[in-house]
Amino acid sequence: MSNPMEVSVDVSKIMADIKREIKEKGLYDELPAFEQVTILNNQEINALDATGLRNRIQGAKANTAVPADYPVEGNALKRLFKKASQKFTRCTIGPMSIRLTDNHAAILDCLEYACNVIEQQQAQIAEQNQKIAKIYAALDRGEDAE
Amino acid sequence: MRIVQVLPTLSRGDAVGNNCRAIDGILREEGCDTQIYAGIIDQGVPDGVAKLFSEMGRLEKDDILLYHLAIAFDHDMRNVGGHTIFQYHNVTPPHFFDRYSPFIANACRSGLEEVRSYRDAPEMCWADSDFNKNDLIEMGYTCPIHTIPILVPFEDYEKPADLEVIKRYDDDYVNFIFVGRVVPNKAHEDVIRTFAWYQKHINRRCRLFLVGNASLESYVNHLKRYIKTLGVKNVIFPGHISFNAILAFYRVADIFLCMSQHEGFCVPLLEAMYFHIPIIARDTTAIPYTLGGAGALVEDNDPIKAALMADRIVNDKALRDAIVAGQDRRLADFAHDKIKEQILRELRAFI
Repeated sequence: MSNPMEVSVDVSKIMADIKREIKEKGLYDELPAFEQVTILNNQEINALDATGLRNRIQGAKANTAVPADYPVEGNALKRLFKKASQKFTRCTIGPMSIRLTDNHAAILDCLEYACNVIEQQQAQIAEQNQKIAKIYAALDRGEDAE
Repeated sequence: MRIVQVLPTLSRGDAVGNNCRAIDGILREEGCDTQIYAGIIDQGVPDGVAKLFSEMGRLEKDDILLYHLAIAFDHDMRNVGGHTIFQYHNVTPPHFFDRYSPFIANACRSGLEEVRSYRDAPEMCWADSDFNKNDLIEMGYTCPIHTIPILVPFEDYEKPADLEVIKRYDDDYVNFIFVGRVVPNKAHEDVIRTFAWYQKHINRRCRLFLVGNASLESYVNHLKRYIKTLGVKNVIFPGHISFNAILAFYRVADIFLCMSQHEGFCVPLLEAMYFHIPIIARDTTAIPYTLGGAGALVEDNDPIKAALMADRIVNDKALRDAIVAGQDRRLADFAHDKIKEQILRELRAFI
């Protein structure tokens, strides 16, 4: 039996065999590339911050109210008919519109609360990132021999 | 005459810090008057090992300064006196970090600028590998440059391994391992991709241990998303673990797979040799110099070639034994006494 310490190995020959096998069997790399997998870079992450949410909340606030009356259009007869309809249905539509308006306001209030939480957490993350950056700076001064 | 070693940060467990402390140890064994000075001393470093750089003062004419050059340090080493020797550990090219951490990228840029600016400063340089030596020559260094590998304290690897880890993973699965900080230049994505191809086409009963500091969150998150996209199972990031647990992961590993794009030396290659784990590594930067003909080099990041090589090593005991035997022979070149003798020989030139 040969002593393994005395055995040498020709890796280049094995690699040549492997290349032949790849060719003969038609093996191919079907896996998606790392670069194809999207990550959110810092700028993209910043674009999804609380400011964007707050701007949208402000936009939604302009349309919170759901009035029971709405402007009527058309000729005089149509306008008369629509006005009469509004008057006759106000007893049912009115309370619904008030509840809808309140509901919208409550939802926007929730969103504003969430926005405050996000802003607070963003501030904390920014603070932590500063600490991490300082730690990296310290580590990398001594860790760069690979 | 004193021999002082200076480094920007002395941390517990990193290659530069360990090397610096190992050199300190052999100098003390030889009865030299020696001291380590660091800009920052990590809390994990025992008291008395090093002093702060601010306490150093100017060196005498016959003193020797051994400065560990790895990343920017906000003190000029040209004005401290004594004979100057720089030990170059390499600086990671900044472009690897541009996407994930502009801060680290800038730190690497500053480090490279510092190395370039010091080209006329030292009387002698030590480089961890011939790759690093060539790097210095390309940057215009004209002083004598000697390749002196990192002094690895192999006796530490005889410490007891974490039995829980061994109990959990020592089974019939094929365990792949890569050890190193989870940073982009080490191309963990190529390790994962090779492992994914192996798992999908060759053997489903396998695991991948990616052992190392995983604090660069942006890169780690990208890797995790890639793992999800590939649908690959059993990729394990053990995170911050004890030294005993690292030893245990080495002990249960079957293949050491390194697809790094940039290494200045790569201490984990020596660790894999020490634990008799066959190495498959990408033929790039310092890796072929450290392997010195041992292990199995792959020419690029093609996952099929590396996966098929792993399959052959796992299933062909004679091949595995031959590769490990080659690695054992190579490891002998990094023996403590051999490197110690080389270090002392180079220092004697100044005594």
